[in-house]
Amino acid sequence: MHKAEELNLIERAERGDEAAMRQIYDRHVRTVTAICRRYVVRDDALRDTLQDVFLAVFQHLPQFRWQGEGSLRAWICRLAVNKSLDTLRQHTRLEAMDALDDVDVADEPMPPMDGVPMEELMGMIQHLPDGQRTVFNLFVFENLTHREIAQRLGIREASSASQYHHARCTLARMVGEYIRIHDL
Amino acid sequence: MKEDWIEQLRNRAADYGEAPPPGVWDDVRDAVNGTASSKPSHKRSRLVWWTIPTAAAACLLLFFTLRHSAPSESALHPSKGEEKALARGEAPENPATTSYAASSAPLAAARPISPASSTGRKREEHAVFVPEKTEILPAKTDILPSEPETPPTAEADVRYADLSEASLEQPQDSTSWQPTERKPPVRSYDLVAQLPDNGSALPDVAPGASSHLSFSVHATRSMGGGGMNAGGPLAYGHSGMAAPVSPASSDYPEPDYWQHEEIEEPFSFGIAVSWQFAKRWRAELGLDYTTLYESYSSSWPRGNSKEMEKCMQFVSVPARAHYLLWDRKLLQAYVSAGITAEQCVRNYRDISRTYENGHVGLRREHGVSRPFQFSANMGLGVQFNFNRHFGLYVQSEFGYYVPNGSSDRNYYTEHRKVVKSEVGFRVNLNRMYKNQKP
Repeated sequence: MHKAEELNLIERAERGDEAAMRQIYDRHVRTVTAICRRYVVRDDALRDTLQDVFLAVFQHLPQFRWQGEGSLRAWICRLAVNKSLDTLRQHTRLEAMDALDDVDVADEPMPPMDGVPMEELMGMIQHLPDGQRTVFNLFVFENLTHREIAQRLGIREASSASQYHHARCTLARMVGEYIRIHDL
Repeated sequence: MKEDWIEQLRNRAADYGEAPPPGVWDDVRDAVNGTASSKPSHKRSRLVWWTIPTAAAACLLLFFTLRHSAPSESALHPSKGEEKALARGEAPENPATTSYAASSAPLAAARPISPASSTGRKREEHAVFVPEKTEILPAKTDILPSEPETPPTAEADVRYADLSEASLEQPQDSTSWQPTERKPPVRSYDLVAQLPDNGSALPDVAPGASSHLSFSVHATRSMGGGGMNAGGPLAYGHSGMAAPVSPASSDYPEPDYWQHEEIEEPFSFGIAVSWQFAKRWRAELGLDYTTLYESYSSSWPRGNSKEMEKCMQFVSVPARAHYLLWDRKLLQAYVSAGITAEQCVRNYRDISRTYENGHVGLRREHGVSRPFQFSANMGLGVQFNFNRHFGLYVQSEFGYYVPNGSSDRNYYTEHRKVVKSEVGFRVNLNRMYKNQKP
């Protein structure tokens, strides 16, 4: 999308033009849904979260500063992560997460995922426990360090690392199982 | 150094998208337009369930706190020593100075009464309280002499008779009593506790944004109308007065005025819920329970006295709209307006009459005020927010009680215009402030 076109869209949406809002919604809703789905598993909670995200987008659009192509998308994605974490906090005490026992978790290498459809990978991530899934998403997709994750979730850094380790191993097992079943 | 598969997964996820659940855009559009609730009910319900007990507990605490701050009724009853004296069949040593007659002592002194005041005015004009049922109060009857030394006379026989009718007939030659002019209230007392208003730690809802649900507890104090007054012909406690009849043989005929009245202004408590449906607007609906308490007394020489305690209880449904005038994170100001519908659910009077020989007649009359009592209210409030969920507010309100044709005179019928100061505690179910960044 050209700069002028996107800026015009933003300006119209700020003025309350419903058509412009709808365009922004249509352009980003699939990405936002995918992000929120990684954190929020339940359908009803997902719907609430999506509503919250786009509500916040249109509510705070005047505060958005366009900084180049993709900046609107990045801003909306950041909102999506924040709102997803808010939703998650309402249902889960993330701060209660603690370091997990590593005794039973073998440090498995991650099998190649090229042949595994993204939908399947997302489904596997959604099957992770809340704590592991949240840390995994923040570490892998948001590119945060364990220190940053710990600060964000109000947990210890060691807990973040431990949760991630468990999530990674669990995901590796699920991916390996998928490859074995589908003979990839 | 993150592993390669992470980079690979991240790249694949960057282009990945999922179809949203159906109806999300409709929800967003409705919320933007301010026509829908911000959160589906299942999301609120968890908050509601812990908030309701909290609000109820706060309401009860407030109720008992305020109740204990109300004037004690003990001042209107005989002391233990006096009860014992009465039980022995003795009149109080100095009725004019006993606690329950103290307030009327100056009035008990012999004063000429104008014939018009005692005879010219028909009791029917005021006897509008229609007793549904009269009962003897067993709890107090132990202060009656078990066996009067003198055989029952006409005086004793009427103790439990239908006194309303008996009291209609006043001596025509009364000359020793005169109504006193009613003094302005020297003290007002009003306490109303209500639950509800959304008060929201007043989260900001942008036009069309999500709505917010809140509960609150509040107390109101009226500015005037209650207090201790000298009675008189205009004292509304006079209406429906059906005190135990005075002995016909008395040299000092019973005055048909209440010489002393004590009016407690309405005390109410309840719950309410409010909903912020637009950035500055919220609607509130409540359910309140209100009590009106009044006491009247008269005394005259030779230990004669009579008292009446009147209690009315109302259930009311207040509906209000609030408009946010000014908003800072910690402090907010708003105006409100609305109407309240009240229905009397209980109405009774305890009447006691003390005679020269120490006999005490007690009875209770029940009545019902059937018409709804409507009132219109408008006010100005300020709220201090402790945090996202809890706020304390003060509100000054002007209320007008619409005449409802009720035949039973009470606080509402006699004080059509009331100014109230309200203190409240609000529980907001929404977590977001206006200036909270996403």
